[in-house]
Amino acid sequence: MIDAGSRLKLLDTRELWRFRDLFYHLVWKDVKTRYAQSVLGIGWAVFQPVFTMLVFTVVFGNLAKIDSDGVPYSIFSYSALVPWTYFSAALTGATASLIASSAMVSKVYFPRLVIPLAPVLARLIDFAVALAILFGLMAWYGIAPTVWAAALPFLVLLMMTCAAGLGLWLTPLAAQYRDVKYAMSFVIQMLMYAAPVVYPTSAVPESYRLFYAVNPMVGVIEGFRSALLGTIPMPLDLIAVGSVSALVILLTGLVYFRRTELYFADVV
Amino acid sequence: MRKGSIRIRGLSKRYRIGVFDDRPETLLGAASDLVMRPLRNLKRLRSLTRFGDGDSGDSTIWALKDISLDIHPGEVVGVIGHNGAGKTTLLKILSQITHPTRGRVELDGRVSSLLEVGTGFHPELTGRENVYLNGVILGMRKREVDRKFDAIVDFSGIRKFIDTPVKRYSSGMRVRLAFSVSAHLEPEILLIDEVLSVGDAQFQRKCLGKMDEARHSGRTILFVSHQMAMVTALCDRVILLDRGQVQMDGTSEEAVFRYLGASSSTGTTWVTLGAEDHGDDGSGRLSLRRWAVEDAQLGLGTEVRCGHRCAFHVEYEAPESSEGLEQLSIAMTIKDLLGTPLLTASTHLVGADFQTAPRRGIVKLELEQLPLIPGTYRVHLWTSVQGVAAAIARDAGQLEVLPGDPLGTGRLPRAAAHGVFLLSNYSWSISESLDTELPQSAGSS
Ligand SMILES: Nc1ncnc2c1ncn2[C@@H]1O[C@H](COP(=O)(O)OP(=O)(O)OP(=O)(O)O)[C@@H](O)[C@H]1O
Ligand SMILES: [Mg+2]
Repeated sequence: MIDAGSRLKLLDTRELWRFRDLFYHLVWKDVKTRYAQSVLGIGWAVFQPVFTMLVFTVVFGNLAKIDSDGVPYSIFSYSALVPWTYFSAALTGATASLIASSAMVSKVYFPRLVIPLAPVLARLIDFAVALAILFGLMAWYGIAPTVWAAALPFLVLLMMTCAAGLGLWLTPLAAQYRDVKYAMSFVIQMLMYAAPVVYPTSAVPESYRLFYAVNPMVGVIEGFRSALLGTIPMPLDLIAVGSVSALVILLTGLVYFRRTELYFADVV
Repeated sequence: MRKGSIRIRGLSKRYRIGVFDDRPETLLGAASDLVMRPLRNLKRLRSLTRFGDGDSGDSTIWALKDISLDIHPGEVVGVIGHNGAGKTTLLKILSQITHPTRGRVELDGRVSSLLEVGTGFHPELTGRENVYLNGVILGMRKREVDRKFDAIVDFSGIRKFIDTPVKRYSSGMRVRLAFSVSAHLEPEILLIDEVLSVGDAQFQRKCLGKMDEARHSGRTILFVSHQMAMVTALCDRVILLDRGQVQMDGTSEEAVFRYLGASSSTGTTWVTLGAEDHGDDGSGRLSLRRWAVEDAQLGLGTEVRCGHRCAFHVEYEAPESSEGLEQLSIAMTIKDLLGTPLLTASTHLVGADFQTAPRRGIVKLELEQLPLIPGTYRVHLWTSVQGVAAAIARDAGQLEVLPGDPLGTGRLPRAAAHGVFLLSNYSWSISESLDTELPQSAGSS
């Protein structure tokens, strides 16, 4: 049943389920093509956050002497870089995904949602590798995780929701306005300074903090630090605000995506 | 609704085409253009998906306009029309690739579409990996592909290349594999857009067989093609689209005839005869180069309209050493696809051998009317010089007889019902009693 006037269901789970093998395939392809023909291979998943950490430690830790909530600056910034690198990679991947598969989109039908969601899942591999390094660093510095480490799966879910929600917004926009793709790396860099990656949330004035936490990555990053490094008590208020905002982004993103996907084949 | 049926009501699709891009002519204009351009770009890009009421006719196009159709389970429907008529757009809407601007479609059953050569094929991956990829893109489970894998590969006939990257395939091989996957999806509705023409004759026959099989098991097929002979052979019903509208919906003969009547594409294609076709008997006195048939409407090629005036041209060549040819005799026999000779035109039979002929030349055979019903036939060419057989091309290629209106009544003969030959010079009469009087023909005494 195709009707020009009808509104589509927000989420056609049965249709998505029917195409689950396509989804697995896209995820697998994403993982595979990322490391095919590269010398470092999966080493990139380590190289990127670790090298960024080294630079940040020199620039922000040693030169600018930014406060790091009582832990070495290197592990302070690395614990933020693990979720942040995932977030930026997943978002960039999702945004580019539709244009990359334009040939498929304009010639075959399948639920379009699988396209931006595949990189969101695929980048979890890199994330897991980077996380393992974080545990190694913690052992090196002799830092033990707190009991809140049990909440990590929730934080990961929040991080994925955030990436998926923004991805759903940006993917259709990127297909229609190529500017979005060009602006991506710049915007992500700016966003990083709007999240407590190189500085602690305690550097943000008390009265602005809840507003600051509208960026869901704030709750995620501080949650990571609190759970693994025990820098501050678990910032439940920040996480609550972030969760609400991530859900709003995801739902509105879904509505926007479903509305625009009808015309993907015409514009890509 | 029964499985495999399609109901289309008031279907329209509007596209944005005119990308208005006027250049500034003055320096000031250029300067203000620099500032205003992003704004205009935004407006232009936005308009790709938004249509206001104030849109002028210039920048948009109705690729489909108010189409209503009912297609029943098991029907094989051809869709024909000029370039840009909206055929692909129709299939894209039916397969949910794009969304209509107006109207609705009700489809019952699994839909599979084959819109382009090797759709969704990844050039770096091997044929095997691509079968899986294509399968899951079309909505199959991996296990389902596992189960059908051997059947798919066997049907495609390229088992030897199955572990070769697809980028090393010829386009025909890609279509073979893609069609095999689509056909084994066992959809209730199969949409095919102008892809099979890339396959060779043998594979095309195989596809026709598969489609016939699909038809018998109650599947519905929509088939877009520019090859009129294929459409006539395959489809019971043909829809002729013209600038987004249904111009005709009828039997394939009627629609194809109407379409050919409206087109005036006069092409020039010769059938070149390869070395093995020259049928040189070793004497080397003559070889056949190429042939073509000429139809006033269709130009020079392998197609003629049923019952219309036409001319066959056959080019021959004798070796350099010979000055010219004496007593050249040539015959053309048309056979059906099984090889049964149907009719012959021969210089020998009518006592009109060429007493002298140039060393190389083109023999022309004019026919007031080719008495064949629409269908595909094979051409056989035979020559002799001075009474001794020279070049013989036993299978010089296919001749397509397309629907026509030779009787001038608008009633079109059909192969399925009316046999092979076209009979036009007969008369009917009716009387109360037996009338055994046979009118004397002019020639006899
Ligand atoms: N994505 C698009 N954006 C703008 N216009 C389009 C788009 N796709 C098709 N059109 C226009 O819609 C019209 C119909 O195109 P369509 O592809 O359906 O033609 P067709 O009948 O399949 O032609 P052909 O025989 O060449 O394959 C054409 O005028 C074409 O320019
Ligand atoms: Mg087309």
